[in-house]
Amino acid sequence: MRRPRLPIVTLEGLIYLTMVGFVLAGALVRHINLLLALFALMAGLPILSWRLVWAMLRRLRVQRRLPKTVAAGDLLMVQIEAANHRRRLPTWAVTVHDQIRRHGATPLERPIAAKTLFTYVPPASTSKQSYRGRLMRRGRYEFGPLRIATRFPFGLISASLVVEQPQTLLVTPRLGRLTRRWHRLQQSSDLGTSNVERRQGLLEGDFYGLREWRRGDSRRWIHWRTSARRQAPMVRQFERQRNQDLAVVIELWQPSRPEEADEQSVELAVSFAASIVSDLCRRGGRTLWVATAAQSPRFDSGPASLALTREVMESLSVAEATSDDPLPDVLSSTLDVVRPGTNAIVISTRSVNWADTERFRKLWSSPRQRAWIGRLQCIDVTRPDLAEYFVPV
Amino acid sequence: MHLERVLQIGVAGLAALATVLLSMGELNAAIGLAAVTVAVASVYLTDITGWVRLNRVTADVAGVAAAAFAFYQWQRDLTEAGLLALVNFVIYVQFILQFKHKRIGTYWLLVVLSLMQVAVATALNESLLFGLLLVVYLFSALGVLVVFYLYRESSRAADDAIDERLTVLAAGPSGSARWPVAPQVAVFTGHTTVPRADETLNRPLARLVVGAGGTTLALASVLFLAIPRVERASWRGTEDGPVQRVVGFSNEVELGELGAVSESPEEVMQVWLKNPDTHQPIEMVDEPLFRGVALTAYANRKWSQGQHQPRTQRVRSRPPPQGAPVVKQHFVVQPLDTNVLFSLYPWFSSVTSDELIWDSRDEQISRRGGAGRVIEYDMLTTGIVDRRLKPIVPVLRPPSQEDIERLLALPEVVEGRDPLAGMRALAEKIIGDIPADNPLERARRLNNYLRDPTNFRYSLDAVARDTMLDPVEDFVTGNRVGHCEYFASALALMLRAVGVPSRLAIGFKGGEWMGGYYQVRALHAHAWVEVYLPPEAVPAGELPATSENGGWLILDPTASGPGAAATSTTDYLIQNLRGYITAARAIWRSYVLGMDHDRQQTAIYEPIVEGVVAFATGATNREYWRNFFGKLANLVSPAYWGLANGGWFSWRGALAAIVIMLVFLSLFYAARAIVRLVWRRARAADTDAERRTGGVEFYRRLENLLAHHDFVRGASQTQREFALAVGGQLAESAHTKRAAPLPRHLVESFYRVRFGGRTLDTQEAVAVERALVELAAVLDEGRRSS
Repeated sequence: MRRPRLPIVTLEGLIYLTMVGFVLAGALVRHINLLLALFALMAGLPILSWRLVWAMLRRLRVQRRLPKTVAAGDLLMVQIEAANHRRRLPTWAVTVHDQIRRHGATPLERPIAAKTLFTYVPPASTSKQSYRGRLMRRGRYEFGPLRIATRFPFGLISASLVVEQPQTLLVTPRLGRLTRRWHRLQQSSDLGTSNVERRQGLLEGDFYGLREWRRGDSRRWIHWRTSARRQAPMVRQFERQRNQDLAVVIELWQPSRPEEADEQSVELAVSFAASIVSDLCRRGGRTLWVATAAQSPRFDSGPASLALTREVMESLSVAEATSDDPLPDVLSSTLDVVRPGTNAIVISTRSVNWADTERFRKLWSSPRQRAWIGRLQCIDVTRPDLAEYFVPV
Repeated sequence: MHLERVLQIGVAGLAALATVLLSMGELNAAIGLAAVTVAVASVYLTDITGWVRLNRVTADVAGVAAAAFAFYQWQRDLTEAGLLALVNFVIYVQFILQFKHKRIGTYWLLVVLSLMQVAVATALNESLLFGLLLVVYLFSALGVLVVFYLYRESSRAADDAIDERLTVLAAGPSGSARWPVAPQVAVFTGHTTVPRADETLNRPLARLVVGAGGTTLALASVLFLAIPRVERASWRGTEDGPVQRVVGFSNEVELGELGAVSESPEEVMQVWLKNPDTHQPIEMVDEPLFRGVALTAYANRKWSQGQHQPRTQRVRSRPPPQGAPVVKQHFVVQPLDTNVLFSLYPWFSSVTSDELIWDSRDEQISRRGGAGRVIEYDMLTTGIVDRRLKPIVPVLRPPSQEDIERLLALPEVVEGRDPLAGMRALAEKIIGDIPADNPLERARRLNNYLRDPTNFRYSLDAVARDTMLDPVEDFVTGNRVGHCEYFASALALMLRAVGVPSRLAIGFKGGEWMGGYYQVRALHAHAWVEVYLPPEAVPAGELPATSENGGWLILDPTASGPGAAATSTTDYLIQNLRGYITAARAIWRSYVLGMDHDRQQTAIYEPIVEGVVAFATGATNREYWRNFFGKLANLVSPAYWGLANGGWFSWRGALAAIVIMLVFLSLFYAARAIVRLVWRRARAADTDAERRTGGVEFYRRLENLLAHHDFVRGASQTQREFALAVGGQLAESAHTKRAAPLPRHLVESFYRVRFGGRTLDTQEAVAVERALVELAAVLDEGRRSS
């Protein structure tokens, strides 16, 4: 829908009209016909301007083309197409103004203004221009309406049309760089070398085969029947999965009156989590569970893939921090569904004390979940040692 | 070339033009020359090479110095001339700005300053050349404004792009502790560079500027003519402008007046020359001389009728001599400030008029009174033979000795000094050994001498005369430039100096041939000479045998002035051009500079009101339309456009051809636009119908038939759904029940054709036709019964 706006006299136009007024006054006071003729010449120009600015906008259609997503801080190029449907008259110097507003922005947050200039669009043809910039915050952004404006040809009068062309763009969290230490941590976790665990039952891994007893092997691993048959102690051999599944729980907590540092922590947590998910999905070969303990908790899971990345990124893009404490519930729900043997990481904007039985009552009350407590890795993004795992870019 | 370079050249040119216009008003050519020099120098030294660029401090100091100098000049002379010093300050500021590194604001300021200068110049100028330069300025200013606007928009966009890059650089250094919360706002932008001139300054833009200039001129013309002028105010332009005199008819001729002469296009009279037997209009080969008064006395630089008792009497019937070719003249004379009337000489009358009187001594006709109203009268003349003026016409009343003496009188010799000594000597030298008893040859030789363009030049411009000399003496011996009054005076006095009686005739020469009559305007006023030839000096056969009083030899000595015959195509064009320049000057003075309350009333408002009233009252009158179409017929005749005399070119005709072509072109485009609009709408309707009915004729008929009975298919209904719905409604009534299955059957056939790709065989076609007829009959019956 196109809504014309009332034409506006520009600053240059006001100066010009003032001069026209002076010339008219001089002509009338001194009775000089030639001054009156000059006034008539000058007065014709604003009328002509008014006619031409509308002629420039008539039968001119504009369209915006957006990418599907863009990462926060990455260069965003928005293409604007202007189609001049007039058969004879070209279009000169038409500016297309766009508005970009973050979804859920406070009223005080001013929309971002963008514009591009079409210097010349020949008749019956289409020209393309683009504007570019960087959206520094993740979230869902609304584009539009478009405003087509021109002051051509003399800059005395400005006319504009508003074209309702709403579109949205998802700005995903900005990805950082995961350090080598993070990758080592991840590998050791996969290989089970990082911590001493009880190898019993299912937790010991899958049965691989039998071998001779070696010094240090547990007596419980001795396969007595085979040992009797071979007349030598034989032990059972287990193998653990290399690509182990992973559950990532992100806690986006902030005080009820957050300061800039709190907001920064939230963004860091989101960025860190997004980087982890993106990295793992790119490698593939495992199942991921990603839970967001935020204002509106979200849960995404599936085999590590591009599709999962998209889902998680969408969730993280719109995740809002909260001053409540949804972590215990979200964590409990997540551990209910993840497979046994899955590694779990909690990324939080504050330190987490697992010994707090009151806070994590559900966790402690369930024997199955209680078994996870010792294996949960928690990373507090407010701590300086975050830099050992993650570097924002 | 870069867009900015074009702008720099354009702004410099505009500024220089404005200063030249101002210098024309100030009569100070030096400042105009300086402006042009500064414009050229600044473009090269400052804009192109960058060798000279005033920094801010230098420019400020120069500005203060200019202000001080202007103030000093103003203090010295507080009159209007002193005020011009303040205007010059604007020029100094312009000069300073031109040598600065220019930003967008600088260009705009230069444009504004140029406009200010033009406004001041307009108050100081009133020449036609200034008007033409004003139009040039208009077109230049439009072009510069367009380029300025394009440059400003694109350079602002480029500046925004630079800002955006800086913002991003400042916002997102890698590893910043404040990342990613702080840089929340980013500047978005489009263009990064200013386009080149050839990308935007193209032919369509030039067309737009020219079109805009033309439209502005047209709008300005309407506005200028329509703005009401205050009554009793003098709208004559500047009060201290150069002195000008408007040429027209007058009973006296005063020579030696200062200033240029301007011609007025005001209508004086319409003259019909007709064959009295066939009533066919006569267009002259040469230009007719409508004589008003004859001036015989020359003294104190002035021609007058002299101190004599006029012998006035009523115009009585005076038939022309038998056998002489007679032409009938019909005059319609507009209100004038004199009672004198006009006619070709000699004149005769077939009727007696109470309204007209004549002075038998000078053969002058006038009216009894009421010069302020239109008068119509008829005269006969024998002065035309074969559409040419006769060079010698009969003297109707024998001149007395006293008359001859009056025709030979020269200014008196004062204190032994002959005021026309030089002229007399020259005249005697020219006639050489031509005997005194051959006045005809003497007169012709002197006339030829004056008409020779190598000797004298015709001009309406101001000529600096020697105030110590008689103007005619100065004209003949010194400044050989002048208008018709000088030429005629010189010939008359030279003739008298060599003993040939002569007098000055004042009237109108020629006029615009309007296809059936001559439109005579004030600018056609003219002076020529009548030379008295005694009977023995008249060549045999020149006059009728009945003429015993001698003859008047009519001579027009004006060289290359109005009426000078064109001898070649170039002469013809130059003569036409000169005529149109003269007319343009006259229009400029009358309708631009001199457009006051009265003229606006008579030339603009009253004709419009009269036209509207005439149309309102005469639209139902057959005579009105006959006159209207008669005028139209005149307009399309070649004679009206000046092509009747075998000329191959006419300015008027060329202008008319262009206007007619434009009108036809406009009509063509308007008609084409209307046809296209109608065609598009009709096609849209057809397409819509086609789309709805799938292009199957019988189904279209079915829909039309049902629509006629208020069954209209909805946009969301398929044809089958529609047929079922109609069938259901038909089944509800006993009268239409039997036709209920028909729509369904017809639609099934339609589906087979439209979507099954089949064609109806003969039986099916007949069945469809029958079904349609039956359905129509049933529906009609149902309507009647309900």
